[in-house]
Amino acid sequence: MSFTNNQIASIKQAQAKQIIWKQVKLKWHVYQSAFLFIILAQLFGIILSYGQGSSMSVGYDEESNFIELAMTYFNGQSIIVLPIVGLFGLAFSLGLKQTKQMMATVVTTQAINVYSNVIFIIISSVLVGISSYLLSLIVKSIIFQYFTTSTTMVIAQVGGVDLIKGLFAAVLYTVLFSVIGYFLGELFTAYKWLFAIIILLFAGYLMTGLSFFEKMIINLHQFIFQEGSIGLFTAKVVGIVLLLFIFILVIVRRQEVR
Amino acid sequence: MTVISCIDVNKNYRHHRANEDVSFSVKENTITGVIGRNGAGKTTLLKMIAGYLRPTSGDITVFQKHPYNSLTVSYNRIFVDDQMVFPASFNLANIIDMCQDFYPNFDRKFAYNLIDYFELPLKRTQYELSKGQKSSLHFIVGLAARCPLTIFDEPTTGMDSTVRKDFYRALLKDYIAHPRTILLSSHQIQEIEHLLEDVLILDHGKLLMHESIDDLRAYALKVSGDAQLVKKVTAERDIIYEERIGNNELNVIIKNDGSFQTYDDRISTEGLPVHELLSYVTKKRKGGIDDVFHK
Repeated sequence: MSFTNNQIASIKQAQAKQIIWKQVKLKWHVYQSAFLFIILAQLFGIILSYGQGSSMSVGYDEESNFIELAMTYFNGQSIIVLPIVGLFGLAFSLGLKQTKQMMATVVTTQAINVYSNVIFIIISSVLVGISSYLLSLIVKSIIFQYFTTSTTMVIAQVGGVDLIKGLFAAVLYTVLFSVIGYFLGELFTAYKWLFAIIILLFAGYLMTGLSFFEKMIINLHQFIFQEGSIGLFTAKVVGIVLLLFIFILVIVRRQEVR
Repeated sequence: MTVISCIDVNKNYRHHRANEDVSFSVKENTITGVIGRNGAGKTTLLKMIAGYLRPTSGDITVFQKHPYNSLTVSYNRIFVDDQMVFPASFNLANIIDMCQDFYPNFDRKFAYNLIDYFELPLKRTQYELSKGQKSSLHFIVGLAARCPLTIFDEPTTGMDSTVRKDFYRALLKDYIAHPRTILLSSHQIQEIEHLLEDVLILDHGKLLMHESIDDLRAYALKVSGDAQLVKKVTAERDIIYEERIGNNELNVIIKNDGSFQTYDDRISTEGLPVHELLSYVTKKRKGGIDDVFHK
């Protein structure tokens, strides 16, 4: 069979940047329902805000000059923590084999998949971080307005520079936990045994409280979560994210898809 | 122009070798059949060409690039099999949109015409389709993408024979209108024989033959008749397969070099259809299914 030149499908050169954005767009469509779940988590956080008990909170504390992640009482902060957990799960799923196979059904490479995942995670984290933080402020204001107690009053009186710092810290926390989630997803897919060892060590630490691990975790906690300067905190988070990003690229470099 | 080149390609898994020293090349704008029994190494070879898997050793180039992790290769090829995974939340219309976004030659109108003809429900997701409908969807995506390299790995799994015939007709018509390099693996060699220009035959991971379909049609002769006579006339020939029929009859498949002639009435000689030849060359050399019952 012979064909004329204009009939023949010629090879086209793809722009990596263009494919990365197409992949990000695709992930955005695929995970629309997951974002609904995150919104639900925010709403659930609002419900929790009315209760009493303990929960995690993030933000900038002017008094202690710390960017905090601490176990504290229920307040508007649970609106932030639950979406972070949701995004952590979503990011974890991005590293799973099934998701990779789905993305590899259309045009991609291992590296492009990682780049697009990281961009998608960062964009999602920014949106979730900002919306959650602002929502938590609104809830705090409402609590301050209608259910004022001494504890809620202090938290709700945030404004100006502190608000920006708190917002920034919330976004950074969301990015950090999401990228950790994605890293763990990739680790789980590539080295299930290593993942199992990490989980076992962590469970062992929780049960036995071995001083070596305790010290390590306390140091890590102090290094990241008790940083006084917002600049240094940003640098630390960016550094950790970059490091994890490099690890992920190394993990997937020789991974086969289907 | 050579689109695919494989030189001494090996692929090992932990417990077995899927491909062993496979070497061949595929020219631009041809339809090549990849034929072999289950476990012959067809899918592994096709996935290496698609860039999903890495060869353990040897060299594969597609469009003069190593396909593994190559964006150029990924952009210019589509791999169609029954394990194509589309997002669970996407209905067929979303899937067509997604493919159009990624494949530069994707013909949306053609895809919709095929969906309409095969009566696929546009509002359903991939997971709500029957096995045959899923295969139809994959086939439509593969065809409408019009990639310079289109790889179909057992694309008609679960389809009924009428649908299969329609698809192969659509494939041929679209190929004539929009030529590209197509690799097509199938167990139903009779159904695709008329489409193929070249055939790669794999057996136990090795490449047995790479011939044009015309050469394969004239490749072998079947000599049948009285066992002793058949043995005698084929003694000096290159024998591909031998099978005893009853007590005194023998079928011998010999390589056709154009010189075999016999005038004995007790012996019949006929050319071998391609599908029969393929079944003989990939048959187990020792014994048959009957032997299982005598162990």
